Amino acid sequence: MTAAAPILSVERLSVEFLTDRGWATVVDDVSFDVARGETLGLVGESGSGKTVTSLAIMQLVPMPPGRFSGGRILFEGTDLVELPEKGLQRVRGNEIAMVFQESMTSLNPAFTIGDQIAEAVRVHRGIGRRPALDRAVEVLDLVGIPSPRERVHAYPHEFSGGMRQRAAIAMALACEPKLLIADEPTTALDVTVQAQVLTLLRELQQRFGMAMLFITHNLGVVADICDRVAVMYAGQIVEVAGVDALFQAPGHPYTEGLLQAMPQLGRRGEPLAVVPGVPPMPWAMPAGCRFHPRCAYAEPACTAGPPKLDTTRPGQASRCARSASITLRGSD
Amino acid sequence: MPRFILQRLLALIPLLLIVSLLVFSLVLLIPGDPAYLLAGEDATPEEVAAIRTEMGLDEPVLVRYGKWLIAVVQGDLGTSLFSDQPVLDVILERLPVTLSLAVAAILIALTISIPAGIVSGTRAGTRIDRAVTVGSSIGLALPNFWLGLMLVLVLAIWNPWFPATGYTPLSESLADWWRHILLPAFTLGLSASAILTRQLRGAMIEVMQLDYVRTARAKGLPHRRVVAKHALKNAAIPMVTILGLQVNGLLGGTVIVEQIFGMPGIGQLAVASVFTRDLPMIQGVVIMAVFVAVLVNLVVDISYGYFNPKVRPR
Amino acid sequence: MSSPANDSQRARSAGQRFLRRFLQQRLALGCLGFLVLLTLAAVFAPWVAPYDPLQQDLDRVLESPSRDHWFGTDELGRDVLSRTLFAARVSLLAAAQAVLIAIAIGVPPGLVAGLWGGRVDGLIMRATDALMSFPPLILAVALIAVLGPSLTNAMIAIGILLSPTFLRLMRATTMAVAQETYVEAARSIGCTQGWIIRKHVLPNVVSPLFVQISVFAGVAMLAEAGLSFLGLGAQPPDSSWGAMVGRGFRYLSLAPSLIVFPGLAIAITVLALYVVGDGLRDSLGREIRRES
Repeated sequence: MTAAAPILSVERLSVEFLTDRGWATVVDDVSFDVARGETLGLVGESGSGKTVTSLAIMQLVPMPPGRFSGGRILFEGTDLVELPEKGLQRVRGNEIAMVFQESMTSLNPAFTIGDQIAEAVRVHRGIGRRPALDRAVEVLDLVGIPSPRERVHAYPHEFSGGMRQRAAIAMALACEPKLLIADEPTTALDVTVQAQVLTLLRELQQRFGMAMLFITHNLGVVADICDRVAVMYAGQIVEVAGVDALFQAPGHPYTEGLLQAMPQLGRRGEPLAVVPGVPPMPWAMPAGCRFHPRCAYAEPACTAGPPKLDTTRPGQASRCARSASITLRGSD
Repeated sequence: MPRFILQRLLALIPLLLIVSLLVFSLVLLIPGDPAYLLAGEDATPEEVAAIRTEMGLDEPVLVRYGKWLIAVVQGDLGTSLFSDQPVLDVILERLPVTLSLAVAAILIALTISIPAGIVSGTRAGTRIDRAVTVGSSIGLALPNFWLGLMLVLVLAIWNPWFPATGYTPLSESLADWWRHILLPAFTLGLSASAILTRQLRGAMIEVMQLDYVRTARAKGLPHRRVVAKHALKNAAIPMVTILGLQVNGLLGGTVIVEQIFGMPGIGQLAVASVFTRDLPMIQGVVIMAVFVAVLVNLVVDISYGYFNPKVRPR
Repeated sequence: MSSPANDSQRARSAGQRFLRRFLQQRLALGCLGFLVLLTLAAVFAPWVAPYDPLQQDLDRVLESPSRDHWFGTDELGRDVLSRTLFAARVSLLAAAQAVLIAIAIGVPPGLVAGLWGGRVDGLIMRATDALMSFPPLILAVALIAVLGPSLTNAMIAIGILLSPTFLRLMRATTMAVAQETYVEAARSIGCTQGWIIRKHVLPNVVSPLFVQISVFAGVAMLAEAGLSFLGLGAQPPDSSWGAMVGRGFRYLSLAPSLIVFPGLAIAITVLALYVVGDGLRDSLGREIRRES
């Protein structure tokens, strides 16, 4: 394996869910890479399939009602889809760790913070209770929990929201994973706390040289933390680009819409732009380009056939048939 | 912690007062002159008068209640009309039988319901889950006295593996105690185990879908550990409540089970006292049973803190 | 929630939905069918039963099941099948009696507690808690001790024991309804409490009440059987299934069929009542189920 090989490579991944109206494709032919030490942002509205994609990488998609209908997930060359449960258990929490959105519900209320951190260490490193607890204190200190030696015995309900999310991050970092998946880790937090947690994540990522897959619906957060961005819409990736390129010259009308909808300082008084309409339901996808009913640039040709994700510029790809003929506004 | 227990104990006082009032009122429910009834049909007028005096039936009701309550609080539950022994002595002599039966029944109920609830709750909709669900419905519908008789018939009469009746105190021989208590305890505990299984199954189904179970799996914990640690401790919270409620039912069930298996406990005493019209004994049994039930529920309340740190007192 | 005008209409359509959902549940329907058949068999026992249940035949005592006597014979040579059919009358009637008593005792104070709230509610709930802290069968035995052993007294005792659940159900429903805006509005324009109960509380409580009745008929039947087994319920010459098992107890090793059949009758009937109860509960809309 060369140094340039990506640590994670998702290839043509498709996931379906059983709904009242039969099997619906929630993640449709999604491909992307995450390089070592890189932070890739996965951006989209709720229901765009970004969370299911992240759960699929961890092989934690609930089945039933979900099922894989195609694709590979290569982590350091190993296909996680094919890996048996025992092997997955060695990867989860050890090589790939995950931080979830709701720290209130993602921590177990019945056990102490320290216990929940230590058990991952014990399972993966095979060490005893005491050293594992020491490690828990260490990582709690690392994520900035004051007096960690005492707080390690606290229960989740005794922590504030920001502290809980720090503890969740500590839990994910305890075994020094090579890839961290963060699923909207700041969404449930106050704005000031959000900034702290983001700073913390960025610092830790640089310090340990982790790769990170950062899932969010908030492009503002993406600008802060990501190197590259993949934008998802209706189960598909509609644009992939470096973070600067994406902000300056988006290649897909949906990305443009998201950028315009971002509140920006120094633009007081102007109404916020919104993308008109709502995303389609997975059982009622529009023909052709899935975004065309909401797209300001749509023309009859857009309904003809599904557009492909084509490279528009080096390092940038867009799923838009008209990307060559339209000029989109970036954020300024 | 001791303060928490003290608070709980104080909170029980009004409840116990109402209970005592209800138990005392039992005398008032007797149609006609209680003294005649209690003395028996062929009692002489002197005997009737003696009973009337002994029970203080000549005095106003409230005075009687006051005196009775003071006596009860001091541990004086009166004298048996049947054997002339102090009621408390008779009850205390028999209480260990009933308590060990109830405890054994709870243990059996938990031994059945915890694995059954976990298996069916984590595999909802599978064949084994349906089997458990059907089994628990049958367990609920079987009359316990009938189940007891069937067990005696098959496991004591047809195949003499267990004694059909009798009781050996735990202090004498653990093995004999176990042999004597197993069938009655199973009989008594089956319906509780059915209820607990249903409860645990429902709770497991719910808990297994929660975020922290996903977190536990994301940490790379083996499935077994996710279920046995993260899911079970939380699913146990409602189960503890139900267990507390079941204790009353179990104590009540001893009335029947002790009769079938010829165990000299307070359930059997209660039934015998109905036929001997031994009202003070009945009252004593009821008070003792409520007392035990309330104490057990207190213990359940306290154990709640273990499962649910949020309610833990500091 | 809607205005008072179409409230009764809403309740009616909710009732129709409830019925439609229930009719889709085959197992519950089958059990209901069984209960109907059983009731008919009990009512028409004199015509259905092959023998007079009291007719003795001392030449043929304690027989095993045979072509002549499907369920065998008892210690006096009486036909167990016929006796089981006649005992169904006593058992079914007793269960119905106990549930009616429980409703009569539980519903009015539940309504009062829910509507008035405050101190009255506190007092009623305290008394209910006290009642529920008794081990049920021991309290029943104590009540029978003072009232005297008879089936009616046993059913009164069981009715008292079951009443708290009806009380709580009534109270919870009434409270929920009383807090609805339209009921407050109705009260403010001077509608009487009787009107509020009839128009708003009762339509909401009927469905969960049916669920409870079905399940508690099973509980009452088990309790009656237990008390009759102990000799504290049905008294000779009347016989319920539980009483039959109690008498058969003495001949356990000689003629197991004496207790097997009445015992099975209890178990199957109670199971059917539970399944119907489950079916009814599953037919309640989600919105109601959460409250009940």
